[in-house]
Amino acid sequence: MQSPATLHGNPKRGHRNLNKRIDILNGPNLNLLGSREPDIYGNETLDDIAARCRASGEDLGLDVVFRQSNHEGQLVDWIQEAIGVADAIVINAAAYTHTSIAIHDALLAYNGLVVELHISNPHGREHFRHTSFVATAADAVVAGLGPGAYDLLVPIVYNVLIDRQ
Amino acid sequence: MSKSVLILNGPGLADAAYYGRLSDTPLTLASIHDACAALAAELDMSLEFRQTDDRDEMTQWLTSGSDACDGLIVNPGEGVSTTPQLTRRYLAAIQSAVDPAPGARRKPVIEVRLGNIFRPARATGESGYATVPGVGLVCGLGQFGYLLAMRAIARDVAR
Repeated sequence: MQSPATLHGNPKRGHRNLNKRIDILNGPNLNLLGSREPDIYGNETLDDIAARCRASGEDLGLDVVFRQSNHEGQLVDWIQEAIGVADAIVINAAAYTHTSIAIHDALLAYNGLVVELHISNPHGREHFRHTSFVATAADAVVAGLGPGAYDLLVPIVYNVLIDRQ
Repeated sequence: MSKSVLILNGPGLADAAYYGRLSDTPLTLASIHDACAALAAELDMSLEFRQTDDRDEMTQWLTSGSDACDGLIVNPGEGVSTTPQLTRRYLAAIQSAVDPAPGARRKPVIEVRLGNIFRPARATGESGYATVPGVGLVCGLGQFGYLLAMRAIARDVAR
């Protein structure tokens, strides 16, 4: 298996059988998933979701890196670390979505595919959730499909990456 | 039990030039329909896939069409935000699809857009209609957005 680092260099030249890496980054309070407001976020824990994403990735020979932090700077560091290493970032920045220009800037510096993900649809919720600094730096947005969106998105992101080669 | 999904495509989406502005890959409404039909077969879902350039027909479909399906996917297409009146009618139609008559089962409604409607440099001048609580949104994934929405409906999305 090729290390993800050697994939970098020339993504356009890639072959279909090249291993790809997707970094799934989660922001504040998502570690409480399963216990926090289950009406909105569901009963599944973030570990359950991570396990399903990894299983979904394994089927495709895809390296899935799944992370969560409550700290804005940590998320910025992880986005920077993904530059040249991960083929796609799926990011649920949670509440930082609506405040973090630092995450916006880091995503603009990242050269791969960026998908913003939300479990609920922020646009159907409180007014302060209507602005997203992530969406304006992302290629795509997925919102309001529930916790199942995470692992459903893994093969979809793979298909988009293959389609773009 | 096999589920049924209704996919409604609004004004402009039959026009090949529309796709040329959004994607580097050859994409047409027919190719999207084919991809959706293949996935429907795989998921054992029944699929109805429609398109209209007539905004009145589109709001009519949104209001009545959702009665006969387990999940609704809508790409509003172009020009729906031409006038505030039209936008309000659209939102009301989508609202009626999400919240059916009392006693009727709530259905997943997902708005799908081919491009990312939030990114200024790529915006096609459309506004999102997923402002109605309970409506899901998938944008920027091209034809794959439709497939993601279908898989979410097949799995009984939780909101």
